[in-house]
Parts: sequence; C-alpha cells; structure tokens
Amino acid sequence: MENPALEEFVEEVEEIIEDMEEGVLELEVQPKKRSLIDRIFRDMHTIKGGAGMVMETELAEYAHHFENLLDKARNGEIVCTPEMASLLLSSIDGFRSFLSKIREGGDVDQPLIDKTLVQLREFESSAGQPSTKPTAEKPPAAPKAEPTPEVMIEPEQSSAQEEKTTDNETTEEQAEVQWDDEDEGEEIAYLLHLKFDPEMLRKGSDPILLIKDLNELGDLDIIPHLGKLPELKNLDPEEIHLWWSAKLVSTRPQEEIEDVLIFFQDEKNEVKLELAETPPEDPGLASFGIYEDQENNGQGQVQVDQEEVDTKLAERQNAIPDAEVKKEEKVADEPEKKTKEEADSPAEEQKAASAPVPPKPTPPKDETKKDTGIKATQSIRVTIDKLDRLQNLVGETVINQARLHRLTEKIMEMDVNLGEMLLQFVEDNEKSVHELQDQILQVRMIPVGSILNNMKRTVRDYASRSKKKIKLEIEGGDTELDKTVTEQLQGPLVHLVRNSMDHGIEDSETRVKNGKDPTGTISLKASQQEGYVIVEIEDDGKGIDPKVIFDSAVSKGFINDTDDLTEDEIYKLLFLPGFTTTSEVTDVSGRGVGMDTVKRDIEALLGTIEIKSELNKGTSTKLKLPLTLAIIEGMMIDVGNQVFTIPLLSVSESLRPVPKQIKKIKNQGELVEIRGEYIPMLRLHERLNIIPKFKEPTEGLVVVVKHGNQKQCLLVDEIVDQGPVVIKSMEDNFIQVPGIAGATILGDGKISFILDIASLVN
Amino acid sequence: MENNQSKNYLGSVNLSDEDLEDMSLEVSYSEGTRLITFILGEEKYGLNILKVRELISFPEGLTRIPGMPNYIIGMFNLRGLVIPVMDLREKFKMSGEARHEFSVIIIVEVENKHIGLTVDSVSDVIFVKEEDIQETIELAVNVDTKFIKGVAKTKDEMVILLDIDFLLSKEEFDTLLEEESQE
Repeated sequence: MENPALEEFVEEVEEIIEDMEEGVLELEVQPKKRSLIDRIFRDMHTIKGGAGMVMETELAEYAHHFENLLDKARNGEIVCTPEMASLLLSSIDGFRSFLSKIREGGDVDQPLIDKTLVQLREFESSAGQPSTKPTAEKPPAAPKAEPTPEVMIEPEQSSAQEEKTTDNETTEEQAEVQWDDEDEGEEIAYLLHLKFDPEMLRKGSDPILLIKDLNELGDLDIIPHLGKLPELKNLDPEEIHLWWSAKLVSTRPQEEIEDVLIFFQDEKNEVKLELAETPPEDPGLASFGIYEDQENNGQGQVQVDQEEVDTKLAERQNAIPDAEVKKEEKVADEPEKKTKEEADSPAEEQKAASAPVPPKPTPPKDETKKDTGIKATQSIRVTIDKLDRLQNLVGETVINQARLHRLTEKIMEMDVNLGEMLLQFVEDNEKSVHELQDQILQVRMIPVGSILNNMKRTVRDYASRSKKKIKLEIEGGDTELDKTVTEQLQGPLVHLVRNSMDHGIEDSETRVKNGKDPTGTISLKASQQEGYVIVEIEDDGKGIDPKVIFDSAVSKGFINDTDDLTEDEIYKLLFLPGFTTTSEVTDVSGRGVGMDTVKRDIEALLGTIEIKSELNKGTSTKLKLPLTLAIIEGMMIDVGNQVFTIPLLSVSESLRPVPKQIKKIKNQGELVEIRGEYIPMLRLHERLNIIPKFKEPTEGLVVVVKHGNQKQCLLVDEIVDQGPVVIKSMEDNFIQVPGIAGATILGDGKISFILDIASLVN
Repeated sequence: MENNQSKNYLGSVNLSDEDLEDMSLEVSYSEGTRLITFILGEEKYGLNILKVRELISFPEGLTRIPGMPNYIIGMFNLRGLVIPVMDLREKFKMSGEARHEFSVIIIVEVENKHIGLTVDSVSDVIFVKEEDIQETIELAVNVDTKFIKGVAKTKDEMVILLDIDFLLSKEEFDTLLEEESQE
C-alpha cells in the first residue's frame, strides 16, 4: 500500500470503526439513545465519504447501505432494536474485511459482505418497509454483485413478515420514537453570527442553504439585520444586504454544527459560533433588545452593529437572572419564527413538540463539550516512521553528548578553569538531551484502553452465543503503553478473556446454586508500577483446582506423581505446551494450544505472566509488561574485543567456574555444574567465529542465561557494562541474522549486536 | 519520494508491479540517465544517481556480523541508522586487496534499505543518453554478469552499469543465509 492517502484513510477508518463498535455496543443496551444513533450515523457517513475520496467505491457503497438504515433510525422510521445492533456489528466485521483487503491485498470476505447485506435487507423489510413516511418509499438499497439474495431470503422472509405484521400496525408509534436522551436536557444553545460576502450570490452560494442546514440541526431562532438594506431602486438583487444573528438550540455536539459552518467560513465571510451560556429554553436574543427593536420599528430601522451585539452578549452572560424575567414576554413569538422547512421533517417536528425542556442550565457540561472540541484540533497524526527517525537522531545526540563529556574531562586535565566552565555547560545540555529522549519515547505511548475496549465485543459475542451472562469491567484504560506493545497485546488478551469466559465463568444456573450473582464478571485492570504496566484479567468464576492440574500433568507425563510442587509451581504447569485441563473442546478454547502461546507472546514483549486462582472464587492472570520495546536493560559482554549485548532479563547469574565444575560428556558437549545443577555450556567465540582472549571457562567468565525453563552457560571474555540500550532492528537495512536479535549503538558510537538468547539456548 | 508518487499515480490505473518497475524514473526521463561513476579495480562502473543517498569515507568503527560471508564486512552507525557494508571487490571476487583506509562508501537506498558499498574511488557524475546504453553484453569483465545491467558508452570511455536492485535484492540477501548454513 504505497498510496499515503489510502494509508491515512485506512488508519482513520480503523479508528472510526472502533468508535462505532463502542457506540453500537452501548446502543444495544440503550437502543433509544438518539445521541448514539447520531454518533454511529456520523461515523458511517465519514467512512462513506472517505471511501469515495480514495475511490474505494465498493466500500463506499457498502457504507451507504448502512448509512441509509441509520438515517431511517434517526428519522424514527425504524426502531433501533438489539437485532439492529447485531446487524451493525456484523457490518463492522464487513468494514474490517474491506480494510484488510486494502491493506494486505487479496479479496474481501464476499460471503460475509453478502450475508450482512442480506441481513440488512431482511431487517429493513421487516422493520422499515411499512412505514408511512414518504422517505421510506425509496427502494431498499439493492446490494450489488450478488444476484441471489432474493431467492436466499424468500423462505425466511415470509415468516418474518408475518411476525412483524403487528409491528406494522403500530407504525404511527414507530414514527414517534421517544429518544431517551432527548428529554434528558442535553440541549445546548449556540449563538451564531452570520455575515456574508455581499458578492456571495454571484459565486453560486446562498446563505439560505446554510440557514436551512442549521434549521435541521435543532431549534433555530434567526433575526435578519436590515441596517444595510438600500432603497428599492438602488437594490442590487444579486448582492447580499442582510446579515443575521441566530440562536440555535440543539442536542447535537458543537463539532457537528461547526461541520455545517465550515463551508461558509472564509476570509470574506464572518461566520461565528459560540456557546450561549444561557438555559436552552431561553429565547436569548429577545432579551438583548434586538428582537424588540425589529418588531416595533419594522423594516430598515434596526441599527444594531456587531460591537453592540457583542457587548450585549457579554452583559447577557453576566446577567442571567435578568433574562429569566424577559423570557416570559417573548416566548409566545417563538413558534412563528420557525421556518417552513421544519414542518417537512417529521423528526424535527417531533422534537419541537417534545421540547419543553427542563430549565436546567448545565454549564459544566458545556465546558466539557468545549474541551473535546479543542482537543480534536490539537492532535496530529504522525507515522511511526517519523518518530523512529527522531528517536535515532536523539540517540545520536546522546552518543555525541557522551563524547563531549570525555573530551571535557581531557580539557579539565589541561585547564581546570576552562574545564569547569565547559563541564557546567555539558551537564546542563545532558539534562536536556535526556529529557528530549524521554519525551520522544513518551510520544510513542498510547492508552491501553483502546484494546481493553475491544474486549467488549469479544465478551458480547461470546455471551450472546452461550447461555452465560457475563459483564465486563474495565479499569485504568488511560494507562499508557508503547504502541507496538499495545498492538501485540491484543492477541494474548483475547485469549485470556476467552479462557475466563469459557472455563472460568459458570452458567447462570450453577452460579445461583453456588450463591453467586447470576451474571459473571470479568474485570480488566491496567495500571503502571515502577516502569512496568500491569494488566490483570480477573474473573469471578469457578477457579482452577490445583489438584486437577497436578493430576492432569501427571497423566500427561509432564511431572511425576511423587513430585512435591508448590501452588505457584502447579499453576505454572498451565503454560506448558500441550497442556489443557478441559475434557471438552469448544470453539473458543480447550485445544491445549492456549496458555503456552500466550506466554510466548508475552515473553516476546519482554513481559511476564502469572496465574493465581482460588477454587469457586475465580482466577486472576497478571501480565507485567515493559513500558516500551524500544529500550531494554542490557549486559554488555566482550568476546575477542567485540562487544555483544545480552538482554538482562535473560541473565540469571555470571561466574568463573573452577576446573572441577566443568564436565565433558561424550557427544553432548560440556556442562557446568552450578549448585548441583548441570547446565550445558556454549563457547560463544566458537558460535560467533571470533578469536577470543580466553578459550577456557576457568580463565574467562560464564554467563548463565535462561529462556523459558531452559538454562544455558555462555563463555565470554568479560563483562564490560550494564545499562539501558535502544534496540535497532537488523532487518531495517539488512536481514535477520541467526543468533542476533537486533543491534544497539554503544556510548562510543560503535554497534553492538544483541544476542538472541532463544536461539542460542536451543 | 518523487519516485514513489509517480508510482502511486500510476497505481490507480492498475498496472502490474513489473509495469511499474519499467516505468520508474530512470526511464521516464526518456532521454537518459544520470549516473554516478566509480572505480573498482581496473574498471569504471556506474550507478543510477537516484539510488545514491550519500558518499562517506570509510568509517572508524565497523562491527563484524557473525556468520556472514567475507564481503559483508560489518555494520556501522550512520546518524542512528544501523547500516551494513558490502565490499564490492570481495563480492565480485576481484584480485588485489582493497585498502579500506582509502576506499569510499557509497550509501545506496534499495527497497527502503540503506546499504553501504565500498569502492576504490568515486569519479564523476555523468549523463548518458538512452541510445548509448547497451543492454545485452558479452564482455570480458571481472564481474559476474548477473549483477550487470548493461554498458554505457560515452565519447571516451565505457561504464559498466551495475544492477543494484538485483545485487541488493531480498533474494540475493537470502543467499547469505544459505551460504552460511552450507559452511
């Protein structure tokens, strides 16, 4: 995928899909929340628009079908049901399929796409068709590229239709959907200032278009300013002589209104939007006096200029109680001010009718809305590539800094005064450079919440297929983790959550019998502890019996039944390849290729995993992950004057053995006996084909490394250093070299290879 | 970058990768190519200048990569990038020993990878017209002909065009690992 626009599109859609998925899952619980439908509709619309821009017409069309559905739901032609939520969720899977097609090439999952489109048509025909609203006469979106859907849905449809006939009779009710959140007082009042370029009409644009759009967004009060209106004989019909002040009371978020305005905002037009900090039901402008002037003096007499409005606005904000009084006088005029278009839109009418909003001003809410609006414009999308480059340059600066430091020490020997001055400067600079390095690492961090939230879908899908009731609780979603780590955490996390659902949580019946809440709880908690991020997956299910694990391990020959293991050691058996305790294999787990894969994945992220369980209370899995993959603690060792780096995490100890500790076994190489344990030894210089300083372990040094349960002694010349190193991939500019996990740049600017312990151990 | 974009633009008319290769910038300047020329042993070689990122003198600290054949002489740090260096004399099995302290490293970029090539010295930047490039050659040169794309004749000399894309291709690099396992 070399097209940057397309790449950006895919990334954007991925984010949108996530938002949409979250929205749909909420919608499933609160199907009558208007703001959710709006949000999903907006997401769908953005996907459609974006897909059109990058010429992904099939995707655009696909989104279009669902946008139609959502539009109908918005207009109240279709009641949103849990079935619709399921349908939308499958559409999300469809979008994912499109995205992977764009990203990796190949084909979309056409059966899936077709299936969702068929489901969509079924849903629309059962829920939407009978609607009496004129817009519903639009033929249902006909999915392209599949000639068979008619045939396929026929048998089911007839019965579906029958079932739904009762629904058909209640269409009227359907049209009058009561949105839960519409009388929640979420209405916000905005003040608008609309002054256009007098030449605007000649350019083919028209203020009325904007006014119409705004009117559709909510309750619009608009006042024309007639001050600049010339006499009729001088009037140029192609020029705009009016400007407007307006108040819009809407449930829509500010961004959405700004989206409408954006097309009219340029240097020649003055189009401004601000939050009116007035109770929404207040007629607002009326209390400025503008309203009265116009009413009383008639055309051409109003001489209100911008400054005056602004000062009055300011006054107004400081004097809410005053306004409260005046409002009573003007409230009767309001309905007359409504434009005619409003009547054409059933939803709007309905909204207006149900608008006796409780007079609760909600200034704090306005604040938060404002905040999110600003946030959106303050972040930019940067490719990881650019960050890597920045990181490289900073790394280089750190190395130069170290050189500078050494040079300063030399100067100090020759001239103490000059040296002192230079040292002061060098040390100041060092602080900034390290701060810079920290900051750049910080930029790569993203909240782990994005993947925790993805689990909602996993849990929902599982619960709807099984007889279990499961609730998912998420905590600490704002904990930050390196982007790469976060992404690679997804797989293991899905696995663990599935395990909890499948083996942990019991069905409702059993739970009630055991005196538990019929709904099981899985909680995901993320937190930061001393340079690590801890992710805990906890369930309140039946727990794992250590005895069962022990017996199962014995029967599989992993251990002897005479072995004396602590509880912790027993739980560790779960991570052995091929270990499973469940007798039944389900579609989600139980195949024995489970925990060992999870463990491997977590270890690849340089993390650790730990299981604790209590019978009938539940199981808890704790993942400990480094904040970033880019930096590890390393031990620098020397073999024949070449410095190699061993990840400190793999090092268990280092020693110089005495001759009697070395055992040679025919055909099996050498072993080092350490406290009764015989550990195979690898002479690193032989493996790396280097002439070493010391050929014998009794002269050099042995570093004991471990990978999983296996230990290995590495013969090296000496240990030179220890500290954090920045990992660079070998593949970036070369190839993956066996035995080498990566490279790093040492303090002197030279390269040191990081040994791949896993491959050396085997 | 420019190269990339022209590919993208063409990408929308559904061309195969091979088509795109053929249409890359070298050819779209249909009149000819700008080459950087260098000396290796007795001969003069040329490289498309668009592949060249920079020229540097032989770096101080080169770290040998364990298990790699002789012509991969090591890796070094170029402003935070970890870059491998290939000794072209060794690679082409030329006689005579390279004197690294005098050699120059040409940093080329192929398939987003940066790789250093040691040459004896860099001579010039020349412009050759397309009609002066002879694609098929039967020449007595020291270099395995699979790494040679053709020969460019200018008024007083002959420049051997290296097929850098093949020389540094993934397939060629993969043979490094095979060579090692054979050892």
